[in-house]
Amino acid sequence: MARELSPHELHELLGAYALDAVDGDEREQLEAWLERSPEAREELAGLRETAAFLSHAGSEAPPGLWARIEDALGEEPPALVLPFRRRTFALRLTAGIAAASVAAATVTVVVLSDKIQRQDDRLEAVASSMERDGTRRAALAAMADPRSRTMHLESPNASPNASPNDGGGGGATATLVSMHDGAGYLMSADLPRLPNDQTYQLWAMSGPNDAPTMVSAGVLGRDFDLAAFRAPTDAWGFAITAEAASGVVRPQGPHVLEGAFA
Amino acid sequence: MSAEDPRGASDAQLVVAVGRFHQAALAEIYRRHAGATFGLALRILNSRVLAEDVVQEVFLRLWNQPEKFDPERGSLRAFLLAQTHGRSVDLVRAESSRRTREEKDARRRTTESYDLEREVEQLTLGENVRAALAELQESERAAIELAYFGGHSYREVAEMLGQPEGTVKSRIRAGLAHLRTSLVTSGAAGDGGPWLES
Repeated sequence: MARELSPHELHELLGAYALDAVDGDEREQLEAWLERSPEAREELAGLRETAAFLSHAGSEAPPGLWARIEDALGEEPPALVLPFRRRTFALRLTAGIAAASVAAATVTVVVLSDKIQRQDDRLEAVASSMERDGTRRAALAAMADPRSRTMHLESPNASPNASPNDGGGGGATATLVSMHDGAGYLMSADLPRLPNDQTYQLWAMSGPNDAPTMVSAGVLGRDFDLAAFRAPTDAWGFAITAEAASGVVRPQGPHVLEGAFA
Repeated sequence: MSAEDPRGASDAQLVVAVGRFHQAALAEIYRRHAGATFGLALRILNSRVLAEDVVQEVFLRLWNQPEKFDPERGSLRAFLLAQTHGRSVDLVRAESSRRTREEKDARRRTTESYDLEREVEQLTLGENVRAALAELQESERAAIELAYFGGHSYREVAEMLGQPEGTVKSRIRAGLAHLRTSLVTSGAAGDGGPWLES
């Protein structure tokens, strides 16, 4: 390996790197430095924008090239659409969980597993902040299971300025999928982050509609994207509240989000 | 973005739609940027066949890995052109292309010094871009041209120009910075880049 370049030397190389004119060990060192330095990445982006001016061509792509590309795009994507939204990439998946259920009912679980995996991989990359763990894959599998039930949880307080402690979800929603054995998964987006001394808590509702039994289905943390839980198999609805950080036996706060199976 | 009207969507919105397998979104991105990417690849490779292959590869890569584009790191145009440039340079540096390139470079060395203004005029640059280029020192322009359009490493550029490597890499960076400053001053460059998205 060549000698280690100083930060000044790496900085001097940025222009050449923006033009793909740095090779070998220097390139590796520069890329490692870029990983560590947001300022360098920002400068590189500016240099590449500038280089792009040089390519401001009036050229036309050859006829037929798009057809070649289109042919190479491959098979149609899977019909399954995940019903969560991502703030970081402005991803808005507007199709509801009902669409996923319909898709799941029309094909076998075996076939779906491949398609789920493919869309899972793709959306995992696009929505890069989503946790990459087995829980998510299990949630996807649960959504595709025709025996599962799903619901949307929404805020009962329509005021966009209402805090979680006032029962407001700030426009956030959540999707919940529940299996026949009581296992379930909760996916949420855009719920406001709670203070250090609070946590979201999930509650399962069973019994009479006008006086439901509320059983804790899990403490979710100050903010969350995805959570696994277990609830009574006769639960017909769920709610999320904001509680003290240690969690509570019975809900103390108003429902931030709530929903029921259709 | 409205999936039915991709022409009204921003580039970033189109990439999100590509992430959802919307071919119409990719088609709109192609409509907006394929000409520039093809023009750049053709300029570097001097082969329409290879340039088509590069453009196809770049757009398929966007289809398969849309997350590689970060709208906070720059425009989609710059991203696609950087991808095109990188792949074209890989090809031009391949052993199979080396002989042709060296012959081409030899011809250039014996005929004239490089004139980036003339080169880019062939690519129908805007007036303000030409003006910005005119403000660069000749040594800066030559280094940038050889690296960018010639696909040479800065070490190769230094050898071709008979200048120290450190000098060349400094001139490339300084030249790009000067170009950027001139373009911003003239209003040609801004947050959204010099091109319209539709």
